[in-house]
Amino acid sequence: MQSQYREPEQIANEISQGSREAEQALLDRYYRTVLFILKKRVKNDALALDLCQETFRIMIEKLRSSRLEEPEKLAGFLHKTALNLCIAEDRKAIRQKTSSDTDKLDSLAFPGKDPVALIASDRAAKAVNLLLEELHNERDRKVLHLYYIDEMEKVDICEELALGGRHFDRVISRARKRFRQLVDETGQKEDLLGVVR
Amino acid sequence: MTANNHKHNTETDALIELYLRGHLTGSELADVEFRMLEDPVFFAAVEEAERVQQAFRQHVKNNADVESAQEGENIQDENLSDPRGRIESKVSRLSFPQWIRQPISMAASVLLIIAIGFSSVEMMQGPGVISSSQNQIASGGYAINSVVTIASRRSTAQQIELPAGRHLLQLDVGIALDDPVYAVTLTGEETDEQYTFRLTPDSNGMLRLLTSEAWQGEYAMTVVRNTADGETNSNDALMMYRLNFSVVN
Repeated sequence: MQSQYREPEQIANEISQGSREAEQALLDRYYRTVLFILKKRVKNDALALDLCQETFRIMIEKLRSSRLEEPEKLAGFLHKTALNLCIAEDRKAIRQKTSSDTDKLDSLAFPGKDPVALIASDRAAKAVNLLLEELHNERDRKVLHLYYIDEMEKVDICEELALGGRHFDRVISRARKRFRQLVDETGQKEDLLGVVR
Repeated sequence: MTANNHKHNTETDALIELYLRGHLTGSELADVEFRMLEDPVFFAAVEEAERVQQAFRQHVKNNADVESAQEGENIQDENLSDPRGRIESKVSRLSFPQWIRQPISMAASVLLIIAIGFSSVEMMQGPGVISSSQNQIASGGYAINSVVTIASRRSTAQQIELPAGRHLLQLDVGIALDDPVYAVTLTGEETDEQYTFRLTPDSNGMLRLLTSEAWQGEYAMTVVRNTADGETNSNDALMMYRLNFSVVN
């Protein structure tokens, strides 16, 4: 269902007026993005999840207790709150550096242990296999390899393969589009075969 | 697609790749994060780019796993056809320091030490007190009176009573991911003796120290984590214990 809350300003103002629906809208609109940002920052999924929860707890409490002076800057407040929590966590980690960090160890030992994530990742890897198999042009395959696996910069790849920038962009853009299709197709096939369920 | 649109899209793609590869810092990073929060379309593009990036990584990992499994099978096949010799060309030999750093090797070593220790140790009952018979020189090595694990969750005693002799002290300093070095210092309470050992914990976060038979009486033991420049500061001791090596008549 499409949320009735379209603007950040509206969400902020209505939370201040006690609307639970607006709180849900805040989560729907920003939760995934804040979690994504935090995962990239702290590089620990469990910790990112904790910090994300804390970010929204602080934000909702603040909005419930008082109106934002500039409610249109809701995203900015969320961002700032999340970053402050990251900084506080960094400081805490430095203070406790000598203690054993079992969470960190678990995250190193079992990266992506979430079974749904594992299935998605397996599906995506299969799609890459198919994508590379489908590419008849060796140079295009090389472009993808250098860009996504060797993480070379566009300018270096173009120079190495004597490729124009436009050609590079086309290869990447086509690859992404085809990848998306292949992921969907792989998923549908697996669902039909009962692999996922 | 117009030239302007194309330029805009490629610039956006380049920015997303820089972000995902962790090449952005400071205000550039904050700007991209803020844009993700403000613009759901941009965030969707970031998510999709990440999905592609991760898929390629997973693809490489899967291929590496398959290759490694195949290599293992090849070694096994060659070993079956020529049990002596060929396996050496495929399997790299580890030096002793490399071998001992492996968790299974360490566990085996500790078990061996405990087994040797048990052959000569009498355990005395009582909190924090471990006693043993006098040391014996085993053929080709030292007999160890006991293995004492300090600062583990189960041991809370700050005063450790040991009979004079050779003991393997295991100090649980916890697991750190940056290969820290610790200075373990023993200072004689009744003498001017002071011994400092620079130790690196194993993968279980344990420092190990073999005590000397010559140590007798009370010693204060401190464990300090070295700073990045190799300096130690005894005011920042992680652990402080008293060890009493009593002479058994």
